[in-house]
Amino acid sequence: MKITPRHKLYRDWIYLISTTLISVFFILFNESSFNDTLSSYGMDAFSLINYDYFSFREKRELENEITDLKTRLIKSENERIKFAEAFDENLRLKELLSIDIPDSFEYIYARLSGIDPNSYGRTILINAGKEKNVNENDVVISMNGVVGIIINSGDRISKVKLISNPSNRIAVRTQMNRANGILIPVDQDYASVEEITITTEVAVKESIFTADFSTIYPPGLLVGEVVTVSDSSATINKKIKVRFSQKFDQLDDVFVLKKKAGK
Amino acid sequence: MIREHIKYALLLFLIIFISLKFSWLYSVYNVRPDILIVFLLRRSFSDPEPGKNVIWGFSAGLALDLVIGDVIGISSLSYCIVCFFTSFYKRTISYLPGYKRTLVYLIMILFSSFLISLVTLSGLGFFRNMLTVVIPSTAYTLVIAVILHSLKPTK
Repeated sequence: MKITPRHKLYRDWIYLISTTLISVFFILFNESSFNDTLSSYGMDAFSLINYDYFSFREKRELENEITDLKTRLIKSENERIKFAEAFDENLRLKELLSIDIPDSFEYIYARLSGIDPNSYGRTILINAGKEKNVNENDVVISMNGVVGIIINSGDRISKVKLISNPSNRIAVRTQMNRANGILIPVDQDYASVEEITITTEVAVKESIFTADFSTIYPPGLLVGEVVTVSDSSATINKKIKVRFSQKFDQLDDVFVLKKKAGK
Repeated sequence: MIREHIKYALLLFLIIFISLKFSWLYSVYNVRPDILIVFLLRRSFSDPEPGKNVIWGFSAGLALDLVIGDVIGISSLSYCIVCFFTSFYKRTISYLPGYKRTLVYLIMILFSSFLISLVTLSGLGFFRNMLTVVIPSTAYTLVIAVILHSLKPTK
């Protein structure tokens, strides 16, 4: 049995106590600008070695993707023409009635550059940062719906807190009755919606969107789909389980929403 | 000595990079092993100097937190504690039988998962956290640790 000298033991304990205290300090001041600055330095360092290692694809796969995108483009273009007229009319009517005109957004394209390696992680990295005018509190979406919100941005990399992060409480509304509720994530795939009364009709497979009064998320973004609805006589609210429309382990291309200046 | 440290720092750096970029490759139903803690614990077994390993655990955890962590400081806290106690336990023992080593791995990985999830997943229920996140990820990490140990045993 080896014996450690006493002075060495004391030194080891001092190391442990110091590192523990520093870590606790970081945790306690998690929202501080000091932590944000350190984090953006960390992301800048990561951006130096970040590269899209799976960017090579087979020609056939690329051709299929182009065909698919062209088909979707022509469909969307036809729909856009149909809706543009109605939208213009709607704006004119809103102006006449002095109702606030909705904000318009620009989309900044980004790709996934890293996933939190731990199972309990609910953050990802995307390859767009301050250089592309991506800042904190910008909303990140994908083709399938809301992904999350930027919590920290470096020059070329930004950290996104996923919508499935359990600390989130998001104002949402149902599709049919536009009933407002609060979305609380349960795990990576599911969330519950609370504060919707049992008298409000909510159907299974109904879509859930961000609410009109949310201060963080723009209104009308797809969040998920209702999986189960149950009415309990013990409470005045429904129990609604929602599946997120975006599978967070299959993320690849995302867009950062930026409110257009002057609108 | 310095060369050894640089080599180990580069290894940790590589592990962090691989787990950030390619963790989806070995993710099973969203459960991913914590490879970084496996390598930190291996070091604590092979070179049981609590003071040094605390610094390694703290630095690696902080680097990971700064790049992707939701709560900065939580990985560094948990890694420095597990590295310290593993080295502290191993420092007086020259030979550790397989079952005891596995038990130490299990306790340390479970403690680390528990501590991190307690802070980062605080919005979820305790038992739900344990059943869906902590226990599966601990089991997966333990399997990786045991496989690595059988492939390349440490002291």
